[in-house]
Amino acid sequence: MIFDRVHIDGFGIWRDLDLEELDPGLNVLLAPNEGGKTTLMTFIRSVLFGFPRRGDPQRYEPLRGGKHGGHIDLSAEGGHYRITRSADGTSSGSMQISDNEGSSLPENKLADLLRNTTKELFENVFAFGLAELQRLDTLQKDEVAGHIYSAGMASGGQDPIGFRQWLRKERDRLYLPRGRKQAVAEKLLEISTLQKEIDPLQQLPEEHASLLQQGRSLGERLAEVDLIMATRQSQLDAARRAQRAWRDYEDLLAAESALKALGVPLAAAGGDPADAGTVDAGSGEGEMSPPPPRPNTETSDPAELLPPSQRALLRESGRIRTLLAAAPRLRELRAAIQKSLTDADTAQSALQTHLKDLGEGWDTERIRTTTTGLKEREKIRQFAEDMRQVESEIESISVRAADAHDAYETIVTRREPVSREAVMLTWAMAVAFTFISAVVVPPVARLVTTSAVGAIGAMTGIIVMWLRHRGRQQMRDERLAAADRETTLWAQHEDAQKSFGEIEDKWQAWLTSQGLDTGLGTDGALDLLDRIREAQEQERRHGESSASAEKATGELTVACGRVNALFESLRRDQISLQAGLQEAVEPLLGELEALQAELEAAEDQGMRLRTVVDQYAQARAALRAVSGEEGPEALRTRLEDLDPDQIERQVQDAEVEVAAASARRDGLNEQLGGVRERRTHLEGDAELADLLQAREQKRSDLAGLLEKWAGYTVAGVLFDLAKQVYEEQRQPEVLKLASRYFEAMTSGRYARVLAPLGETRLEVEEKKGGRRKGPEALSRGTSEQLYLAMRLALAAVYAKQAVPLPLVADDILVNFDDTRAVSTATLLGEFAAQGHQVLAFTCHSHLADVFTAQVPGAKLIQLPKPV
Amino acid sequence: MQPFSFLHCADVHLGAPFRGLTSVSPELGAHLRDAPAAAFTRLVTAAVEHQVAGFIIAGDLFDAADRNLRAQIKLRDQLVRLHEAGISTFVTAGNHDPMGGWLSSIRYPDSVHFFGPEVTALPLQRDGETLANVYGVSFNRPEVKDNLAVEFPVEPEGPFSIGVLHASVGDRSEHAPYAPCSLQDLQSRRFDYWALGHVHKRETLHGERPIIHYPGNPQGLHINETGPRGGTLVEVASTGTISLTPIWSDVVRWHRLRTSIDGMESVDDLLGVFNQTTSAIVGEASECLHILRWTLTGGGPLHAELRRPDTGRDLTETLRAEYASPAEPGTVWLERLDLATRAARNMRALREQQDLLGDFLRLAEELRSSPPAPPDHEIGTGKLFGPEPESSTAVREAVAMLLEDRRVRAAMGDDPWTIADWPRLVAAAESLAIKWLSSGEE
Repeated sequence: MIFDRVHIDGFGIWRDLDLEELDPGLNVLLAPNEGGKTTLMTFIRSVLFGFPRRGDPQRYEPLRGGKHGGHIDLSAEGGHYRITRSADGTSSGSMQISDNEGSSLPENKLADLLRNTTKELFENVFAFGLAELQRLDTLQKDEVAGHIYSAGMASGGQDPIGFRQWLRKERDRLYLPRGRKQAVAEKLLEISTLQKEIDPLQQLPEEHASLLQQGRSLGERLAEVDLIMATRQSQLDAARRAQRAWRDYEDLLAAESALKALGVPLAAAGGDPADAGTVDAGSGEGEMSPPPPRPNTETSDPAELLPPSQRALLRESGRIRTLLAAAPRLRELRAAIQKSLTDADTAQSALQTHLKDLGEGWDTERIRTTTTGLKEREKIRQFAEDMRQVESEIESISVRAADAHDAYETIVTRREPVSREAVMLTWAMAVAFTFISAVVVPPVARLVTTSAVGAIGAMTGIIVMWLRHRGRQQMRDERLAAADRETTLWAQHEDAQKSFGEIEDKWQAWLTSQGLDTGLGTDGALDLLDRIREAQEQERRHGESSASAEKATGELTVACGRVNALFESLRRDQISLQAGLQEAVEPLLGELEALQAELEAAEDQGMRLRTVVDQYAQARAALRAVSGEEGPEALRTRLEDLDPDQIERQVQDAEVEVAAASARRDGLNEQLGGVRERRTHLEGDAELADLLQAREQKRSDLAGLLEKWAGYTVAGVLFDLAKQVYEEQRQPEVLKLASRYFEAMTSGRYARVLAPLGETRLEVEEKKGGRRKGPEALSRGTSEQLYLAMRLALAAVYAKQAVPLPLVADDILVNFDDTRAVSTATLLGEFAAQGHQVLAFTCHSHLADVFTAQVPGAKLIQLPKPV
Repeated sequence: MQPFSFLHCADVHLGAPFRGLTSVSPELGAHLRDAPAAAFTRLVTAAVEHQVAGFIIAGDLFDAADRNLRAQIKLRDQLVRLHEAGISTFVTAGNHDPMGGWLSSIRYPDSVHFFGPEVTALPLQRDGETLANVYGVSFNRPEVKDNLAVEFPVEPEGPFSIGVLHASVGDRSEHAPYAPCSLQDLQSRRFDYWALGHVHKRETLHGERPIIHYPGNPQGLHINETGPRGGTLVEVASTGTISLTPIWSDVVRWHRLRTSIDGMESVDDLLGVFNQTTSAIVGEASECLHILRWTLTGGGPLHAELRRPDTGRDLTETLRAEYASPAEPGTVWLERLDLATRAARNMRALREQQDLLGDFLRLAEELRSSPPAPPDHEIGTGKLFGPEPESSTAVREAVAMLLEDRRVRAAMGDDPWTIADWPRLVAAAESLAIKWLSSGEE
């Protein structure tokens, strides 16, 4: 957009001001102070964007007449337009836009031409005076700032500065050099605390070595003490030994003198020559040499020390006593023999008498072979019984037969009373015969008797039959019955008789078998047996007595033989047994008793000897037992020079010394135990390993923290580098242009204008050294140059992006030094030459001269003096 | 020749603590504490079971700096076991257990042979017959920078010769270059077997005679020592054939797992992967306690869930409680959960943006590809660094105050802190920048 002409109808001091044929490049408008430059600039703003509201000093109501307002003719986008602004009662006034034909155009055409540039932007960037130039905020309005600061940021961008701050905060939370509260510092503290625990444990090997050394040293000391202890103990043992041995020693001495008294040499009593020697001479040599083998006093018999006769007695003491014990028996035997012989004679006489009584045919032999035992007797009694039974039966039958006969007779008697007597007679006869045959008649006659009885029976039967026949008439039936009965009975009677006969036969046969006379009845047989038995008894007695005498004689002979054998073994005279045993008994026994007396004497002697020898042996054994390794001889020798009091003192002294040594040893052992326990503890102590592991874990924690810290640090470094790249390479075009302009204006003193990343402020960078500073650090002139450069740049960019707008600058060089003023003027000339119309107002003619001198094509316009 | 065998191990680091763990339960702590000793015990047991003739320890048996008495007592106990089994032990001292670091107060069995600072040969015998000559040399100070390999004879004697050396062979920038030597130095010496120590990773540098072998360490001690660890059973046949068999001894095994969340919809999907992985890990060595570092990468729907402030911690606690309680063999302890996921955004596009974030990301990329040179230049192997980008310099200067902080250095002990993992640091920085500077939603 180029302003071709500006016409003011009435605006402030201006009335009918007409600036024609403005140059499309640089126009320098010169006017004195109060010459209306600012009013003119305000007029241009007002035409384009409306009058300021009433009361605003910028409103510039006409002071010298004319209608408030005017118009600007401008060229844009190939067309020519007139913009007319005039007061119409509204605050901002009315605006008309028309083309070069004069045709009115819609009001919004102006906005189109301005590309909707706001009044604010125009005032900030394109139409400014010193006041605006020096104000930073005019560049920080969003619309402007967007061009300056946000270009090149991430798309939509978050908060890069926040990120940087966060990184720093997080990093510093972890670690700061010499910091104490940060996580790393805390972890370091934990590690150093652990290390304090570890350090002493790592000295353990030294302690261990030292303990080993101590152990060895203690061991050596202990060995020394042990040696001393052993010596003291052996002294104590010796003293105690002497004490214990004292009584045995005394016993030994007593036994030795007893032996002497008994005339037994010590050597024979189980002692040895060395013993004897020490007793007598106390030979030192003897003590040293080992004792010769000695008889075993435990098993040898002290009786060996008695005279041979006594020894023989003692040897035979058992036999002697046995035989003496048998003495009453010997006497008994002697008496028994006499009695037995007498008994035998008596029995013999009695036997002879019995044999005579028994008569011929009986001798000792027959007596001996005849059996007279119970069996035989019983047999006889059986025969007697059998006979009696049969006889009794016969009698019974006879009675009943008689009764039957009587009955018959009664029947008969009624006719023949006599017959009663006949019956009676018959019965009596029968009885008499039976009695005779059974009892009175000797067995030899028995057979005859039986016949007689049979005859009697037959007679009787005839009588009966006769009687029966007599009664038949009266009581025929009765008589017949009675007769029958009687007949039957008599038949029975006959059978019985027959049985009796058989028994008799058997009896005879038995007697024969027994070698007895067949004529004997049972009673006689029994009597005979009794007598034989008597004889047998005598015969037996004789035999027994003879045997007793014989047996006792034998025993006596043996016993006497034994006694003699004993005498023989004792080499004593034997008693002749030929003279008669019985006579020899008493002398034998007498000798035996004498032997017993001798034996007892020998035993007494042996006993005494045994006691002394035992005492001697016991004393020696006790002494030997007590002496232990010292040996009995040495002990004895020692004892010879001591007495119990001395020994007691020795014991007490030694005990004290042993106790002292023991206490030292216990102390050392305790120390050694402590050392060993500590050493074992150290060797198994896992605490160091645990702590090392714990430290390692802390280190891992620390490494984690360090790595985290490093992550933040790396991110920070990368961010700073990226920011640097950004600030160098991705500054908005505005800043790039501004840098160029500013460099030109400052003759190369400053190389760059930049907006630090994420900040809405500017910095300049000195070309030399790259030092950066903010505008506040610049001088007034330099800061004005910076802002001018920024505005030029913005205008240039705006021209490119939106629309080129004329730049109206009101006396902006006043604070510039000459050089910068020249440079700036030159720059503005170049800027204008690039198609940016510039209206530079000044009240200084020298500045106008600068412009015209530096910019050959510049149009100088001397503003007229206001009317 | 007589067939025989020996066990070769190194870098046992008895009593050394585990590194890099932040929080562990007391049970797990006790288990870890005893792990190097337990691993060594396993090797000793294996040696006894295989009736080896010799037991060779190529340095760094323990960390002398720890001055851990218990560790050395436990070591002594194990050496006594070998002695009682009739096995001779040959020990060289390394940089962690130089000769002065051995406690003189502890007595070792007669069958334990320690090499001195000069190369010496000791016979390995069985029943009075010499099976091999064992040559070895010890570090007499922690930092031996001399080439010790060249001290060994070129023509060793004996029916079989073993060289025992704690050394950094070849170019190994990741290991302190102690007793540095070249492979050629070792190959040119007519040894049958070089028993090396110092490098913790199992590696056979030369498979033909002379066999040159690092058995690795018997127990991994930190996350960079993953996988099975142990010693090597070396069997020499009557024909002279040498065969190597690993004897795994680790009781705690380290693992790294990376899982991409691409396409995952829920935390359950993630737990499924974890479950599957841990099952596989445990199945591989059920007698070990497993320590796992799990890094989640990729992007997708789960990312937003994982980005929530407590998600990582909650997930870690859940997995620990579920898989590693109580701490015992056959369980898995989640050591750390690294969340390296990102929204499904196009990093390249962001990086090409012509704005502050684009500048940031481009600078980050530049830093990633040329990290700052290590502050201690002399440890480098003489490589010339090219002109350093401004970002690297700036970062190095920025972290220097911490790296050089005396308190920090003292606290980190033998293991001075270095920025170990540049890509992770840079990624963290990128992530922060994207969060703060990008306009897009995450």
